[in-house]
Amino acid sequence: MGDVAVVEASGLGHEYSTAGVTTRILGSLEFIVASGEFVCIVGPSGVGKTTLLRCLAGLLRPTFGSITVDGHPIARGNSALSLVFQDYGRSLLPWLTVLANVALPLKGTAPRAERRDRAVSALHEVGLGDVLENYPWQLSGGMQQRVAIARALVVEPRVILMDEPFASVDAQTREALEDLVLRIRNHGGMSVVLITHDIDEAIYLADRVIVLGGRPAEVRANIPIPFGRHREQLATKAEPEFAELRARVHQLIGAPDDGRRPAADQGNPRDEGARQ
Amino acid sequence: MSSYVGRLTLELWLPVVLVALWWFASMNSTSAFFPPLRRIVQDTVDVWFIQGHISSDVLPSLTNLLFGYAIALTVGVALGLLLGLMPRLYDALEPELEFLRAVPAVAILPVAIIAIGLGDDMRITVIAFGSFWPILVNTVAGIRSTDPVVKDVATAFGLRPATRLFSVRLPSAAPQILAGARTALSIAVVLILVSEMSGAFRGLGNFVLAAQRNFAITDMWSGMIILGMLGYLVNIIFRVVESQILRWHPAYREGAKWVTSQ
Repeated sequence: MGDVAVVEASGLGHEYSTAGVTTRILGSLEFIVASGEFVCIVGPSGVGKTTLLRCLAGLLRPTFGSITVDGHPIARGNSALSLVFQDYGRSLLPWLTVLANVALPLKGTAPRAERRDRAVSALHEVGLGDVLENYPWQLSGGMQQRVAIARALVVEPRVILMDEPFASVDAQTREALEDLVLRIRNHGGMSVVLITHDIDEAIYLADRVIVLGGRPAEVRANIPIPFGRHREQLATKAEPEFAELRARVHQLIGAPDDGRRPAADQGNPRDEGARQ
Repeated sequence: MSSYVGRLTLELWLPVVLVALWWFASMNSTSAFFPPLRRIVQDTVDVWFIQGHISSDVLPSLTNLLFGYAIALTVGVALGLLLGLMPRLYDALEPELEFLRAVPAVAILPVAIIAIGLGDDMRITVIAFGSFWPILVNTVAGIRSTDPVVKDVATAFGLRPATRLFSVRLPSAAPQILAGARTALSIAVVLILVSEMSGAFRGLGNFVLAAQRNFAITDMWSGMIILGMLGYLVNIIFRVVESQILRWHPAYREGAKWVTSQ
């Protein structure tokens, strides 16, 4: 793992205005992602994880602060960053074959033969070398998400962003996809930023877990995960440290933050004392 | 195979019954206006295929249809794309567009005759004008309803404008554009006839009208049979083209192979 920061967020904040009411979603986030690092961002649902990811992906201009990739401000369609969406069923284009879906980001930037070669090798990397001419909707959910991963790989990004990428596949497929993403990172050396609400998944995959919490969201903790590069579903999750980390992250996500608590919890203030 | 036969039976039973009814009900007819179907069929073969009215009357009509429809498709889709991508422009032009759309295409016939004359270019213009509207309106609606996730994909991957347009927005709007194109096609077929009923010396519409005026009632009926067949044929061609363009669409996935192995 290099120490060079690839992604750098400083004072990153965002607010929405609807009907004259301004809601601050992201407070003032500070974090970096190092070269080759696997960072998982966790937090309770509704904390603003997706807003953060959309800012990182260049789909949303943050209201405050800045994000840079390799020192340059985020720009739309920056090929240093690529994105795997949560909903593969909607993010893959049903009118294009698997191969054409993966080659799409290269259109207009590389000659046809090169586009094809790069798309084929990205598909081989995710183990889908034999369904090039099929349509995505002919594949199972797990295979479709692998197509989406191949599409993210094809631009040879410095950072892959993933938004709850395995939320809608079954447990076995999910483990296979997790290991696939780890293997791709180890092999390709890119950084990965993965957003999830699943604490186990975050600890299993990450070199570092960033816990978001509060309203507006702040970085509550930066937790290094000491399992090294090679992980195994059963062995890694059986480590005593895994259980400790899980408990710690759990507490961070669940614990109220300096008096500011999720709206749903504000009913009974006396709860506070009872909890700790 | 048997399901194919089944579908064919399902589609054809009613026409067969109706034709048989017509055949037997009119068998002994002596009315000048409702001649026996047998004579109409003989006359149809004679007039259209032996005397060659197919090439002298159907071909010109078809040519007008093709040109008019092609113009409507090209201009309708192009303008629809533009207006679909620029909602402000659409909003600014909407009252005028709605007004023009509400004018029945038949009503512009007198204007077209004065402005353009009695030639085929007038007929092509009328066909193009009438079939343009459903294509335009459906293209705008189709472009506007692109899935936001799909738009995010295009943005996040920084697709070039041309790629965005031709690989993303246009195919995503294709089902709706084709629905408009189908409506437009039936309007275009109607307009061939209407446009040929004034000042034309050939064409199907002129033939049917002239036959009726000359009390060549059997000829008139035969013209209508040819018209029906033409409309049906054009529709079949459209369906084949549509199912090719939309073979990815859930409505056309029937028979596609699913890959089940991981």
